[in-house]
Amino acid sequence: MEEKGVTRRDFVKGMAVGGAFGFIGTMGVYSHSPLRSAFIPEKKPGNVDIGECKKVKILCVSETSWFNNDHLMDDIKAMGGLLVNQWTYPWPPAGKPGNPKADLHPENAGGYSALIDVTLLDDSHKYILLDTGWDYEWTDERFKACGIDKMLKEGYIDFLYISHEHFDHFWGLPVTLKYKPDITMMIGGNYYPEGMQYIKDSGFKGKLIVDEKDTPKLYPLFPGCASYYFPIPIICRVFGEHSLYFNVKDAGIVQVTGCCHQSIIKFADTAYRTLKGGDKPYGVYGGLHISPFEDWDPKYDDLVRSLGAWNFKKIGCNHCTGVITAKKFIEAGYPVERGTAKFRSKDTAYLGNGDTIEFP
Amino acid sequence: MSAMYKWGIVAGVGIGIVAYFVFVMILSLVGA
Repeated sequence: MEEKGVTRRDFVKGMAVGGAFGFIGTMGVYSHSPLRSAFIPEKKPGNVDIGECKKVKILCVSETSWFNNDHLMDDIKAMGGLLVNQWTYPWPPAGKPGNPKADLHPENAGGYSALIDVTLLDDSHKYILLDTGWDYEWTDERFKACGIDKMLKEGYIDFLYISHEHFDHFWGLPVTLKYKPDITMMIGGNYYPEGMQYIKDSGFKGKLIVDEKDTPKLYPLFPGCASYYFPIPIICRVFGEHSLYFNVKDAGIVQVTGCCHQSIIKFADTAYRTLKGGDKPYGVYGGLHISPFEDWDPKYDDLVRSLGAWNFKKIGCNHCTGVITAKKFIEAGYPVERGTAKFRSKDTAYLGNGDTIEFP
Repeated sequence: MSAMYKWGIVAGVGIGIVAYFVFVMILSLVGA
């Protein structure tokens, strides 16, 4: 009886060891076999034809949304962190009403804005003002330095495209409207009531085009240009960001973004899955939101590595990409367009205020 | 190492392989 017990126990022990080896071993073999992708849906290139344009030239009006990271982070921490409603932050000008800690570090506010000059196939031009900065004085100063004020007054700019509701991209709206109150404006589909009220209070008298709420969707704008809305939660209680795709003839898709909160990988992948020609990414411009506060985490290295797989021919990054990230891109051998570090931009590793980039 | 222990390992490996595929099937069914 005792011998049988030992035998049974030996068998069970062997089965436990064998079971573990069998399970883990199969996992290893399976993950290195073609079967591993059997349950993953096949990634198909998109087929939406947005037409073609000849060239895209972008002038960085301002990429310095703030000038001192420590001050910005201190203000955010003082108000309760990154998930707190941005309209309650102690910043000028929109955060001020009703805020007991009004206007902390007003000198720290800058703003983000860029002018996109698109040459169509018939050599005519479309001008898009991407975002409208933050601090009124700084935004106005940059607009004047780049001739945006005159272009707005004379009606050259076809529309104002606000990438998302964040303070540094949107709160400078009165400056644009000072020169062109009836400009056509495009915004994402999930603005909060404070944001919608701010548009009214800023004296907006033009046509407002709003994306469909909560719906990821492509919006063709003119030949060779389309907008895509990404309904995603963003820090400082903002929801949704839209970004632009350009199909440049004989080059490929150029992707232009404000902050790219959807992530650069999602942005590129959406072009691939949606657009005809999306499998030929050519260039990217904008804040790529990797290390906006100039910190670094090993997981960001994965993003840097992943971007390489898209094989962009020209990368024009700045703003929330982070100088550290731009330097990592350069180290990785990516074709990053360098800047001149003028007008309070800090580093030549990326495109700064007053710099331009052309695709192709 | 007894003969029964060896037979246990053989049976265990078989069970482990089957268990892994059941696991993968369940994951795919729940859409994980």
